[in-house]
Amino acid sequence: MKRIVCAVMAFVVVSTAVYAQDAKKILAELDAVQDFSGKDFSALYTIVSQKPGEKDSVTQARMFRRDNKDQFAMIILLPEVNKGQGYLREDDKVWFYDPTSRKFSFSSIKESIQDSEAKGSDLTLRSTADDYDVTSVREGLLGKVPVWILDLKAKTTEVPYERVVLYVRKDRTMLLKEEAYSVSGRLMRTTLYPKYVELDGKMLPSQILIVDELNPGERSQMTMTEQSVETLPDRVFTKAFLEQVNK
Amino acid sequence: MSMPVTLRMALRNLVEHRSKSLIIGSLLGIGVLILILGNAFLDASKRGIETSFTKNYTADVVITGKADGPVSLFGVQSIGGLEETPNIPDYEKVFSHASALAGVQKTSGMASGFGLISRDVDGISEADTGEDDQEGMMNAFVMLFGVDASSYWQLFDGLQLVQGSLLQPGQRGIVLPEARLAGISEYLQRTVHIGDEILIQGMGSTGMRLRSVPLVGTYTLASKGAGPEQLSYIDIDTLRALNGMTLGSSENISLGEAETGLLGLTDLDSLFGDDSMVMESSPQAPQASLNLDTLLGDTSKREALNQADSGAWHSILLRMEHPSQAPVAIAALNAWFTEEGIEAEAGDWKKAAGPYAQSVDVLRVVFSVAVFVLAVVAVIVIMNTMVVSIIERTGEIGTMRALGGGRGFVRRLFAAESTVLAIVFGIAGLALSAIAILVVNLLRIQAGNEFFTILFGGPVLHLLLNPLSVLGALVLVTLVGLLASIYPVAVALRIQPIRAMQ
Repeated sequence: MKRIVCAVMAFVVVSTAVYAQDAKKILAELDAVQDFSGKDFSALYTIVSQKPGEKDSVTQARMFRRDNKDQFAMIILLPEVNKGQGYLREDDKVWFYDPTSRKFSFSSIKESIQDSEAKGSDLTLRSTADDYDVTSVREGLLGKVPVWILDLKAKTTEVPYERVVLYVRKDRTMLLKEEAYSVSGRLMRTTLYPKYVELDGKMLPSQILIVDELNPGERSQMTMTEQSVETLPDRVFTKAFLEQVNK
Repeated sequence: MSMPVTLRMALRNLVEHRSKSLIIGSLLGIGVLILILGNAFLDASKRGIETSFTKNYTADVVITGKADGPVSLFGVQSIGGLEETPNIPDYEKVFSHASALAGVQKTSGMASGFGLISRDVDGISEADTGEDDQEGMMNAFVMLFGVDASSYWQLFDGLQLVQGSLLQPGQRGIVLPEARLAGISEYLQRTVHIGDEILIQGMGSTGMRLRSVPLVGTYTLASKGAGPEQLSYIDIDTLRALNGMTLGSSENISLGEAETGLLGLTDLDSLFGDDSMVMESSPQAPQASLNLDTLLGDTSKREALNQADSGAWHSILLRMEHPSQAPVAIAALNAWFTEEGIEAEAGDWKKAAGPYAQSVDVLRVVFSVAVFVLAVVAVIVIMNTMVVSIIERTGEIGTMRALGGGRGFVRRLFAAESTVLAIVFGIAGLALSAIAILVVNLLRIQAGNEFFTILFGGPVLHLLLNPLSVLGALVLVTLVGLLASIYPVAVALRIQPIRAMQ
């Protein structure tokens, strides 16, 4: 009897270890999707935010990234009233450009992107493997798609959510759903990634739905098109560029 | 001299029971003192608070648009978020009607918003962008009153200018609180002087805006604690630009299914119902076609949409010939708004000051309760002492009854005694109160901190003897004396005279 218990326990330990090993690999792969080191990346982002009783708010922006140098530039295209507003990040410095007054100011990377559900961190590089520990791995189904369900716990207080549950497609490492929980265990935000495109050998989400679980009816849809890894001219990552596009 | 016999006996009894009369009388006098001083203090703070708000920034009457929550000069107080401050509809019509109202002396329109004073130059060291930024941001925060310089300053002539000048009509610029200048200089890492350009980042309904305006002056609030210490005055058109009070605030954007299709879904897992939905490998628009120099396309619409809406105002302030005319003007305005179907409402300084008046009110309520509790305790002590002193005189009551004194006579006698006591010592208490008030005023007690500045209604405590509260205190103390005598006299009268005499 004792032997059986030991065997079962050994099996549980071993299998959890295998899962944990896999989970680490999955996280690393997911992180790699976001990483365009050595290449430039650009895309057109459209964010539509819905709040009950309010008109949908729309932000469209073209984003440029050069991860090697920690450079990031963004030009707002919609709404028309904000057209030409630009953000430029170099290392820790973030500039905001207002074309209506032709002025620059510092602004924080943590600020919400134009009042939408999407946070600044959605548009910048971050490493899930560095920020979180895997506490459990399960197999499951999301809709009809077989997935790994990874339960993650925050290692640092730098991250916005204490616990994150990831639903990762099994046959190809693609994040399909993400649930974010607060310290008190409350579901704060659900993010879905229903559509992907293949670019430079990587799977990139092209549609994201962010559901605010605290405020029913508040949702944001992000749509990414025109993704490209073509080399961008250096001048894109300068303050002068933000001014030039407005000329 | 034909003094009623009861009164003569009452006086004689009081003299007879000298020490007892003195004790009860002193208690009654102290009661009057507490009531009068407490009232004088509450009056002073009420009057002072009202003056410090109305003279500083609320004026006597305010008109705002309507919203779900109460609207003040600081916007809408709403649960769980920042509701946009409504503009006053039919502004010109409302303004001219309000200006023509009886008793209205001066009128001015304004709008308010928030802003962050922003750094506009490079070279901020590493250390300054870390944890300290939280405090830096607090220094940079400004509460903006967008004012019409042609009329606003006439309503608030008590504003104390420290440096520079006030905004002139048509002039672009900002007037900052003198006390904030050091913090702002520290945040900007340069000493800010009059005439320097200051970059302000607004967070309005249409997103972020940057505007640079010269610092034209600094001021100090006449009374601290009555409003936000970050209160700054800026020209109305710059405020409108920062706030998004522009023609573009109601832009309509229509997008296709690709960009909005997910928003309406109820069964979210259905997104993953079909395996093929997950993959989409159709090639995207080639990057090569992207011309970086023509990214924006046509921007002419932007210029039109960003024009300040010159008809957009959040509030109208009215200065009355006398503050006491405010309630009548407010009632008249609200009746007119209903009649005309205008979505606006008028209110007093408390409405205008919004959250600030509320915090002051809480303070006042707490203090009123403290004074009230003190008064109740005084009344109980007086009653108790009187009850004991009359019970002690049961024998005397029995003797009077045995000698043929009727119940009514005994009751009248004791009533006369307590009334005489209350009046004599009440007047003494009143005299003491007057002296105490005089002394307090002569001492010029300084408030010292913001808490007491609000409570005192100014930097120095100034009490006034209110005739109404004097009368009230005397009447109250007399009533207490009478009430306190009714019960023990009734008890004494129930006892057989012969038993009572023993």
